[in-house]
Amino acid sequence: MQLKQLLFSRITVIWLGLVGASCVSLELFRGVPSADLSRIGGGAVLVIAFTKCRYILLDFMELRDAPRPMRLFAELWCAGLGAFLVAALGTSWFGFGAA
Amino acid sequence: MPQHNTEAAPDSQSLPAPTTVQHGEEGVWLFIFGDMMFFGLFFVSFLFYRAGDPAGYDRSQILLNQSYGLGNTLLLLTSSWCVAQAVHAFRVADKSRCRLLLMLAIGMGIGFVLSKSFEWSGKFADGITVQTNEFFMFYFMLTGIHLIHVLLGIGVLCFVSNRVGGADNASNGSRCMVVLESGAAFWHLVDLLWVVLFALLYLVR
Repeated sequence: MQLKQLLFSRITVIWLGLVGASCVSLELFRGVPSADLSRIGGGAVLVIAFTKCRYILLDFMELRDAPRPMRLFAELWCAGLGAFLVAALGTSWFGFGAA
Repeated sequence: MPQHNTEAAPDSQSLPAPTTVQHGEEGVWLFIFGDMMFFGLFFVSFLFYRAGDPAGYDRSQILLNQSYGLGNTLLLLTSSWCVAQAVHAFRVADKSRCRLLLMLAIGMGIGFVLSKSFEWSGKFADGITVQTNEFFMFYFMLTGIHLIHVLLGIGVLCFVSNRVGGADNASNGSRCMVVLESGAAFWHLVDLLWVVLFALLYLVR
């Protein structure tokens, strides 16, 4: 296995994307001063996080070509849980959760 | 050995049906999916309780060091890259590179544990504990459970690395491939969970 193969592979491109997305998430946190914008920023951070999760599941964990139930679980976990958390953060769904 | 299944084509005129491949042990995947569901409940619980006192959670979150969080994320992402490349190296029968990449991943896992212990000790030195408030209860509980996963993952990678070294013929080589793929999947799970924890605990406001 050549070093060139190691460095110029799909996995490496995805790793670079994941690293870049992590840095963008931190900048979103730092660059949002107002409360209204912070809610949008928080939602964006979650969308980025679950998009990263999808790539980890499909490419690092090799579920892209997995049997349909496994692939479906991975997609549903990312899209379903991610969408639920973003919606819960952006709305008052959990407003009754006051301790 | 990966299990290959070809889904039935509707008729003989159709294009060849796509082949699906299951890497690793079924039992390990069941554990991984169960763990993902379990953590999913934790994530929902965190946002549920956060809704009760968002301002208080934001004030506590500011006390976290976001740079530590990013550093930990980069460590785990890079270790995952190493593990994914190690699996590929084993497939092309490059055992020495496979072991080297696994060792690098283990080193980064240990780096994560050290970083987390520095972060926690800094919090304890500032008088912040699990009893300080609800946010820090979640912070220590979630990062603590995740840390247990990291320690388990390091143990798994050590075991896998040892097995890779002992794989010297086709028979135990294919068994070793299953062990390697299963161990790799578990390590990627550790990375996956941290990606969401980093977002929820350190960044979401």
